[in-house]
Amino acid sequence: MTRLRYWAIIVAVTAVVHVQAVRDTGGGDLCVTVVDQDGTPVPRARVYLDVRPYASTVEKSTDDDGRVDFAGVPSTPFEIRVEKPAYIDTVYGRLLGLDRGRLVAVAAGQRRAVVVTMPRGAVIAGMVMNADGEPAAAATVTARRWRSEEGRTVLSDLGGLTVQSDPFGRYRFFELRSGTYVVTASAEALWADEGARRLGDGSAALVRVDEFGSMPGVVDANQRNGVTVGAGERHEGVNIVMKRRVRQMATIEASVDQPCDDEVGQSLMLVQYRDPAGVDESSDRRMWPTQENGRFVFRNLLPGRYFASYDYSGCGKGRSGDALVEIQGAGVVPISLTPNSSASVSGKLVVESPQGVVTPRIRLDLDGEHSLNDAGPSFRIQDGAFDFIGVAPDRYVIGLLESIAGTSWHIRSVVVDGAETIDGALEVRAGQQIRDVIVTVADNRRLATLAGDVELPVGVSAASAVVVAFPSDRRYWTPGSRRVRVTLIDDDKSFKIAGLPEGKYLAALVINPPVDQGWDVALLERLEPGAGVVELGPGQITTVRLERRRSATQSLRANPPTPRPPRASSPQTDASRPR
Amino acid sequence: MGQRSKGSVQGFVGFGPKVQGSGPKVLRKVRPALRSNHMGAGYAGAGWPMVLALSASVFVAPAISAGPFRSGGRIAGTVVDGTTGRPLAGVIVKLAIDQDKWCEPCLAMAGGPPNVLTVADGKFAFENVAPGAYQVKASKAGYPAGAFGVRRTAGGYPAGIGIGDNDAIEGLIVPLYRPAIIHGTVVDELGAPAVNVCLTFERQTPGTSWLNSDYEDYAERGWEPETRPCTDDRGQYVAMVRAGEYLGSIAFDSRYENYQPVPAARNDDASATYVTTFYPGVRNRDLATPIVVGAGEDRPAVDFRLVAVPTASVSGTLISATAISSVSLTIPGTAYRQEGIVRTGGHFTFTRVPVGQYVLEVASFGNHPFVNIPGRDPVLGWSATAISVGPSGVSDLSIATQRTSTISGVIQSPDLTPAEISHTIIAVVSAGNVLGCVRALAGNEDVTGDRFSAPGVKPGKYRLCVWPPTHPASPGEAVLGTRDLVNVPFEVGAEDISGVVVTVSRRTTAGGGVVRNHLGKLAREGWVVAFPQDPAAWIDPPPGGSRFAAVRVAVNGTYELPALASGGYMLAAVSDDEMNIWPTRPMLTVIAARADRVQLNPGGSITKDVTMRAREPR
Repeated sequence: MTRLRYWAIIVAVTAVVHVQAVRDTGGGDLCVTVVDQDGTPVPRARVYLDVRPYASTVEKSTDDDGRVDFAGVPSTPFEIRVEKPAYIDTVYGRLLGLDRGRLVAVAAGQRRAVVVTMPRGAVIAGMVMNADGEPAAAATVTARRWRSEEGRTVLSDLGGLTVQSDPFGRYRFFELRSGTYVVTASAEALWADEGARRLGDGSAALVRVDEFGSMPGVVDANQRNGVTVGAGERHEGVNIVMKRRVRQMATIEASVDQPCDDEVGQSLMLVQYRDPAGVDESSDRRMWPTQENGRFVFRNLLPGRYFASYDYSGCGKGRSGDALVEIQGAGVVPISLTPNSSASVSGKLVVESPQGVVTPRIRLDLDGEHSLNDAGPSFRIQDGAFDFIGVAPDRYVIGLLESIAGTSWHIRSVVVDGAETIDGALEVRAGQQIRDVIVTVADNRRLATLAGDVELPVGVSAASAVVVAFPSDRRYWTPGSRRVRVTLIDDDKSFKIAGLPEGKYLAALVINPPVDQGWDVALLERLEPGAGVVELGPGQITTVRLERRRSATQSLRANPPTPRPPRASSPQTDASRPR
Repeated sequence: MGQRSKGSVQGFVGFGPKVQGSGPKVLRKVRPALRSNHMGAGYAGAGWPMVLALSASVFVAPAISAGPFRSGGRIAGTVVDGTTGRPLAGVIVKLAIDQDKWCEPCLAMAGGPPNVLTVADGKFAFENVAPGAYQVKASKAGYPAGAFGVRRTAGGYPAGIGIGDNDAIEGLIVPLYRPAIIHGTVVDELGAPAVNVCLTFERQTPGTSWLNSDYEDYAERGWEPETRPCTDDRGQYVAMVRAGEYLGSIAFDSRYENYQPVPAARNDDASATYVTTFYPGVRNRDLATPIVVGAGEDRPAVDFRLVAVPTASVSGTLISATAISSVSLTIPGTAYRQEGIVRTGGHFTFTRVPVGQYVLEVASFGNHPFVNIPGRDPVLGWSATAISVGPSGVSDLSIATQRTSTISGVIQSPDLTPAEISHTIIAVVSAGNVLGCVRALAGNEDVTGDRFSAPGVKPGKYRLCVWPPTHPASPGEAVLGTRDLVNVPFEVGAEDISGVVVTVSRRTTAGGGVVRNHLGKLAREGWVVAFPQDPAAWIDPPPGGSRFAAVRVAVNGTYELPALASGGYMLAAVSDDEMNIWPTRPMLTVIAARADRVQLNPGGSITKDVTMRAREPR
């Protein structure tokens, strides 16, 4: 059941809501009908009404018609959650990567009927052979899915999709969401750390022996290929042949120039870069050294790219020293760390407010593509000047970590070398000193709001559609862009997107979007031709009406891979037109 | 490279399985200095070079040693499939320090001995092994763990391997036994696949509680969980198990968390539920059919059908219970337990009780048992009532509690002060607690000065556990007249038991000596056991009892007994293999025929050399 619960994190639904006649009785009545991707009723499914933030839960199960009635439902808004083994756990109204479902409220005397589509899980199954050509029992088999998360496509390991092959070497994944999966298998033979423990004098070469294999056709993770399954589909015969790998381990010996006298005031850390699209995830990512003869030693390192950072800030000898290390085989790799050698980002913080005062309460944050920022970069600010030191080479987005109490702020501008980079990534190379960055924060009241209502096609409910707003300038279609926003549509067919930077936007209505994929560039490209254009000024609240201009059935397949859409719910895009 | 000696072939206690025509050959080449070992000499002073083998080679396929050669011994052999005799590739072989023997040089090896990985011929070799006592363990994905000396497909204990500097022990056969496979399908009451439902396969264990090793994981006699496979979207499951006897079940009780599908008959009030079902479809484990599988056996079609039953309510009133009482429903022979709610006035209710036969247990306390100190809140009243719950439920039960008994007596000592005596700890443990005092909770005793009282004892069969207040100490003794209450279970009825005499002392017994093999040479493997001369005490001997001892022979061929209760004992040397069934009555009967009889007086010591008998040809 653990697996099921974990699935619940990334659920999505397509659903239809019918608001029916209001009944004049105490408490409301709710009828929930659960159907699968083909519209077939799902009996004996558990239906939960969760009052957020999970203050209480009511649970019942569906009858043979897939239906369950809740009488006397309190008027407190709640989420509807549906579960059944072999199906995809579903939260009503959670669409297109949104982090919550639709809140449902039933007024006293009201009666509502909700149809929740809970797709049947897909199946990928096959066999694992070991390096000796035998069926591999107890191999660890992992299925990861290409997933778009706010414009970034990664191999997602969400979902706990790891199983062990059975004694016949067979494996089977079920309850899979539709999508494209990469399946790998591994069997560990000798652990490196056991070798490390027995290594007395460090003279012997360490090895790591394991077996690893991936499904046929996966030769390059960047091709983003794999096995594509639709809702309820079965793809069997995905066989994997593992090969034995004997990989020699390397050692990094770091010498630190002017080390801190006080051990408490220093820290040295080694971080391994992880390929977010890589298929082999067997490496530790963060390591601490042992001290031997005045040197800091990291042992048992697999080939890869590492970043070492020494923090001098605690002992007043300057700023961080760091080094980027590429390891390709066995041996001892010496590195030297000296103060002030690390990459840094520094500049000026400007606050646009009536007060115009920079306070130390504002903290900036570097969000790295490899999520290494917690490994070292430290932030300082004084008299409006800030700097990040110990910055690992990576691509970063500058964010606002903490704002002035009582006021809501946002970063309005990040200027590097005279160019605006707020909507792009800031690339930091090893040892690079990026100076004179001007970060401007502004009152949120300068942000624009896009609101309005939508006209839905006949038979389409507000619960099965979302509104997507995105900039007309494609340069802003970047991962994590603050200009690309998705919102649910209320029962009265209204919507509201607040906090948009000023500029020219496109707005589109998306019906039956992929259930749990976030937006990606491919989606925006498909929406662009039929989307309406609206200009948003600073602090402006713009009201639009999105109505059906043309009917188009388009595939909203994620980019890439391209999961097949559910059979019964072909996605549609509707053109929109500003009022 | 060190020169290997060409000593004579010695007997060896560990044998591999009969997997080859002529049987495995195990050679021991012992250099002369080793034979000069004598009893009483410490390990370091017994002529053994103190080689601190820090080199600790690193090994990868194909069974090679990559480290610098230093002096030391060699241990080599082959890993085979225990059933077919076929050499096994891809096996991780570990040279583990024998934890039962103190071995300074072994520990001095940095991080312990190395590992190797076998290739196609299944061979392995450990070079430069520091003198000491080891076990050779093997593991391969898809096989249960194995070790040299583990011959039984259902378990056993790894044999110890003693090695001196420049010894060469070669030809070890390490068997790995294929797991048995039990598989089948689980369907619900309508015949539809039951998805994500987990099964439990419990394996019957021989009860070697003191042998807590990887090879016989569970010490307790009875059934212990072996594996919990879950069903897939087709309702199918596959269980990989060691050879043995199993009970299969789908449990929906407090012992195991399990996914509870929605029964077909369930309505809005959740008035139906699935209940624990044992193979081949019974609710009571006593009626279950054991599944016996051998190594490598494939047992298909072990199918289950979920059993859904209506649920109902049970309610009633407690009479003469204290204000703080607990009520619970249990099903004998299962782990099912459902706690009820007791309200003011003693009215209690259970809801959603599956129809069936239960025992309604009531316990009344003086204080809340979870608020005050455990062991200080005895059960003042109790009852156990069999009830039958039908679809319409049970109401208006009227349950009267009965008083519990008290066990009391005095604590005496020939050498401890009254203050020390008052710190003695005494516990009353159920005779069914197969681990005896090992896992006993704090006793429900009340020791005041030299007197103790254990209230709140329900009728049943018990033992007393006595923890002396000093260390070292002789094992505590408790007698009622001539009855040994520590080692022999006694009945408690409705009456109190008084006049128990507990004796504690810091004067410990001691025993030891030299172990020789049948050729008169010092033995370096095996065990020495001590147990009561009186066969009446061999019935269900309690683990942790004070009259049974088993110690491994030290590397230098000596043994040392732990402190035992005074009395007459049998003393014998036994092989690793014989210890697989320790301390069962059949084993004790066999060993008693060749054992020496010794008498241990309070605080006394004995020195007794023992001889390991020759191995019988297999």
